[in-house]
Amino acid sequence: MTNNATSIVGTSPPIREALEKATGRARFVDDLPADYHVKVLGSPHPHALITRIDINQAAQLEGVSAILTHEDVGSNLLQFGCHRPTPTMDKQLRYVGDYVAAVAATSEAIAEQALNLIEVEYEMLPAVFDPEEALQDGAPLLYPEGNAYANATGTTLENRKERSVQAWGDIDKGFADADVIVEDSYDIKPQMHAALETHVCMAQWHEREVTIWNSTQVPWELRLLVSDYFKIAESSVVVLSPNVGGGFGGKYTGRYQFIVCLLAKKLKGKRVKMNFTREESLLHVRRPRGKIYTRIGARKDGTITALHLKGYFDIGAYGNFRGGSNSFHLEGGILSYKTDNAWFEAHDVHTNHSRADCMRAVQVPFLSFAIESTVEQLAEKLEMDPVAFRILNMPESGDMMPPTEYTENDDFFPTARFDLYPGRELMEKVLDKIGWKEKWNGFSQPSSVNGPIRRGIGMAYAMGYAGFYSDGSTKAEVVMNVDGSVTVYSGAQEIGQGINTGICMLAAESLGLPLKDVYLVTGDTRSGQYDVINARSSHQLATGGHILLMAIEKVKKQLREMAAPWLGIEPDSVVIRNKTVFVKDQPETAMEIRDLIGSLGSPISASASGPPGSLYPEVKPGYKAKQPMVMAAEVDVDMETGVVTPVRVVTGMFPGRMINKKVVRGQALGGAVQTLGMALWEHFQFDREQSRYLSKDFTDYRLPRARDIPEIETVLLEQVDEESLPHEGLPYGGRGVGEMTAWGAIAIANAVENAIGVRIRTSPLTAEIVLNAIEEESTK
Amino acid sequence: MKPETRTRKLHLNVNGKTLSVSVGTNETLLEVLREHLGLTGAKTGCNQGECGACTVLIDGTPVLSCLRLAVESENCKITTIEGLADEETGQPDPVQQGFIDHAGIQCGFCTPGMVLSAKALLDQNPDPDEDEIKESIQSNICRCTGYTQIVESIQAAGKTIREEKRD
Amino acid sequence: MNASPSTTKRLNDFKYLSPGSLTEAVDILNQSEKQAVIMAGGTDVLVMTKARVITPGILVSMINIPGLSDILESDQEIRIGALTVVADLLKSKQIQEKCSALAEAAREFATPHVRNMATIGGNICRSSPGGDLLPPLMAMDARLTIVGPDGERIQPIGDFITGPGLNTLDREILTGITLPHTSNQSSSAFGKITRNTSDLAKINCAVFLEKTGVDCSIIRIVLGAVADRPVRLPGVEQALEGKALTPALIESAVVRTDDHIAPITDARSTADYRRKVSRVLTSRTILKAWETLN
Repeated sequence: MTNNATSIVGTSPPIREALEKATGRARFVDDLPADYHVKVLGSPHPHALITRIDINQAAQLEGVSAILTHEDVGSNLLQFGCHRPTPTMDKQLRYVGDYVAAVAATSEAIAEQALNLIEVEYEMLPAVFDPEEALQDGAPLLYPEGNAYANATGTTLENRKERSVQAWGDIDKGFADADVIVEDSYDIKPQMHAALETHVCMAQWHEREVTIWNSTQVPWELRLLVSDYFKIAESSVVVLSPNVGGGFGGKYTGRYQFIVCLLAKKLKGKRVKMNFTREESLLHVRRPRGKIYTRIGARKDGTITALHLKGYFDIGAYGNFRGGSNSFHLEGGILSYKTDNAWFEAHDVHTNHSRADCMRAVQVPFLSFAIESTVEQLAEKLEMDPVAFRILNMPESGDMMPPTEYTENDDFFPTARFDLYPGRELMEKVLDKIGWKEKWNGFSQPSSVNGPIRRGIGMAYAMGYAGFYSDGSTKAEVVMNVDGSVTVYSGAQEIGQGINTGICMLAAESLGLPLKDVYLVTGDTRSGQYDVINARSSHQLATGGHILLMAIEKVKKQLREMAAPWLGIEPDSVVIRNKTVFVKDQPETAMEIRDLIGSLGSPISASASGPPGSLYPEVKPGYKAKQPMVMAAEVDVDMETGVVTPVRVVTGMFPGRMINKKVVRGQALGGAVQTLGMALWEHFQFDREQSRYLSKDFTDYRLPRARDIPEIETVLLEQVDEESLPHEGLPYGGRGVGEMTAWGAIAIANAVENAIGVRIRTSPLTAEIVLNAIEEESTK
Repeated sequence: MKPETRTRKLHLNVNGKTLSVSVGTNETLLEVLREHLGLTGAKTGCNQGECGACTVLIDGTPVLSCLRLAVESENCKITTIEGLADEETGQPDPVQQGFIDHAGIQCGFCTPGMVLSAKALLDQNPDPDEDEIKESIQSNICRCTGYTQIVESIQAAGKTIREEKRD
Repeated sequence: MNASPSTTKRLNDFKYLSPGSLTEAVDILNQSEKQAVIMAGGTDVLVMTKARVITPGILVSMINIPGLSDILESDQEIRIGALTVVADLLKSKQIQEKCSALAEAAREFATPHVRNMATIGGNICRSSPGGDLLPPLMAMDARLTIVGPDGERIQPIGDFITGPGLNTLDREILTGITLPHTSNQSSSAFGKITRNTSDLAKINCAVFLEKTGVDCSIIRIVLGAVADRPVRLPGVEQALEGKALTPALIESAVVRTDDHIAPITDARSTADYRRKVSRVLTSRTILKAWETLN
């Protein structure tokens, strides 16, 4: 049975929220009225102790209703994975912006004035900003147990590891077998999520229950952590998320939600809201900084024999979600090349910087930058075509990856075969589209020179994650109403990526319903659904969609069994379409579901979830789903000013099956622009002398604007496993797309290298860095 | 200690209606729209005039409402996103429809500002080229779409407007 | 006062005044001294107030003062009202024709919506070392009309700006900018180096030159964002005056840029980069202006 013929899946209806968003009716949390407004006093020092704090004058300002300091709060769990109780507010301040005090007042203006009346004395502590320095003996300690962060699945503070490793084969033997080895090091600076909607949270207590409105990617996680913090039942915590104005990994559960809840608890019955300023949002979270060391060896024929990578990730003072590097989350980047011997090692380290969370594509931007830069050098040393080199070492559909069992497996990844992995086809299509053959003149040979402008072309490839993740903590329910229309209760969280629409399109397709007859209940933890991973890891479409289709199959089964006797056939021969049931191949026998169930009948419902504890389910026995990604770019470099201007980008990915074509294209295009920002313009800067972040607002944290973007084209490959039914494997073949579009800054860096003949080992590639590199090269 | 307040009663012409509201003389138009008038379509993205999420039209010209005092917004026609769709039928205007049909919307936070910027352009020039379109939304940051599908939405809206003009 | 890292606060509770005449406005300044801040478009004053860089006790808006937003051309000069918004500078045919450097600077000024609000007078009085409109105005030898308690005075813009964010206004208001008439063998050009589009300048540059016969008879070069105020480059000018300009001549002349600049490292760029690229931008802008005439 083929699942290729669909009528809704594969089309491009507008997203469900389009009309309300286009008319301004869509409500975001800061659009909701509040009784009290919260302002936080941020630490002016990167590392200090509060020796004295006096809030009396502030408390007397008319309009001030409640004030919190570290003396009033305990510790909350920050993250899911390693349970470290982290002080919600602490006497020890660990970064510029850390919470000194929080004031709730009748207006923001009054709350701001109150901050000025709080008297604080600080004892300065030495600070550390570099992750390698922070691991050395004698480094300033952010936590008594040390600066290394426990970052592997299921570890606690007590049994934590100080590093996370994924390895297979024998790395030393691999290097011994190599004819050529390249070693290199990279410093990838943080990128800020910078969603256009700032962080915002509102809370309201009624007796022992609390309602929280939060712009969050993870409402279920928030509910879990709040219930734990206040020692109340999860059923007493309601999290509502009306609309989220972008997340990209920056809107998980931090400490601020607990501060708002604590203040709201003091002001029982009142709505207490904290809306971050742009500066506070930028200060609140970022991608980690990665200092990466690579060593890759290959034989003369180009086969990679050993791939060694070590990374030190600065996760700031309050890292979240399993560490900043997220180890090697869902194997992203580590299975790009099929080598017999590999060693990937990550150290997540606290520093006196703002907190780092994973940002779109997690560790893939780091790993791909380092690996794809080293691989270029390796190919050059081997005098081998860089495309051929990659194709030679790329895994293929059906390959066992890794080729042998993991010898070190801190993240408990299963060794399994790749299902569909059309890496070679993707690479050929992307390179064909950008005109690689005509334009690439050789290593470090620009494709054209026009006065001071050199044009270069570069590319990169990586393996990205896809498919299922944590189906054991994902739940969906489907209710078929008595008229045959359907209400879907989904745990999925919409943040602008189109998941709500995707879920509804899957339901409509599966039930033969028009899209308008599918209603979705989401963004409300009272729905009885669950998804603790939620809008992370690009898992909602594949995993949530799969779970949804399983639930729908149960509904269909019940309906068929109900209809069969009325139609006089076996249940297997009942077809369900357009709110009717009929005998297969005999549409004239159609009976309306409304008449079948009847007004005295009741809705048919079913829910589904994965087996409890199931973390890395296979898409079919023995197989895991990943996806190849390829990016190619052309840039112009002005040799006299160092300015890099992107000229053209082609971004390729493997969505498997695009549920909504325009949505998928939108992800690819949006991710490509975030990639440009990471590569060229978005510059995280801290002035150590003045203890302030220079990249604190949009004036100096340069997000890409409309006139910055070059021509961007997409290659979106579709291939589906013909054998599986929609609900058995990936939903209609859809693999998940959101992140595997914003990973390839190295494609731009490789293009710069091609233009100027100098390799740059950091991001962003500012004009200052590029010009310096050009000058250093010319003096050689 | 009581903070001082200075207030004034204003008559603002918003979306064709005169709205009376008592505001502080130090309140921005954005704050008044959102907090006094319940018109929360205009957003606070940066509060410094960098992101464009607060864009409204004043006499058809796009401005950043976070950098305009409410007391200086009388005697002019203010258009917010809430004023675009047909008041009776709720039918979106062609610019809004363009964004709806061509995936110009993802998270939706930049959308009100973007739509108004596009509307101001198409009202002046219903047949802009790509550079003119990009220039018209240069004040509006979008973190989700990467702008391409927004440009396509505006191109589609332009086409609709030109066709409507012909009819 | 606690130094909170958050920089955008609600506007402070200033007293708001919107006088209907210049005389009234000057009176307010005269009587309130440092308490009063003049506001034109608001795109600088309100941003600075939210950041508490300034905390106006009295905000004096120019919104009700008539007659200050016209662009008038006569035989001798172009007079630009101080309240002319940057978008109108862009649209003005006279500016495009007679002072293309100013039009180019206006085109690259901030973003379109800001241009609908920000005024030329505001940009001049902000007196930022990197203000985009300043180098063209200085290169054109603009003269400023200033009104104060002692009446009206005229000052060349080069003398007006005295330091970063500092100028000679003393309880006075800038009312107009006059660009002198130039020969039809003159041209001007503007250039800017930024991080990405619509950015503040790392370096900006304006050149005005006049040709007599085959030679460059007059040349004025201004660099911004590389000293505590926009600066002329007399050393470079002297090396080029009276000569027929060629790329080689310009290359050798711009070495002297160094003598006139004192760049710093800040969020946007480094002192080293600014020093190196100042020469490049200067020579490109000179060439652009020269090639317009040839």
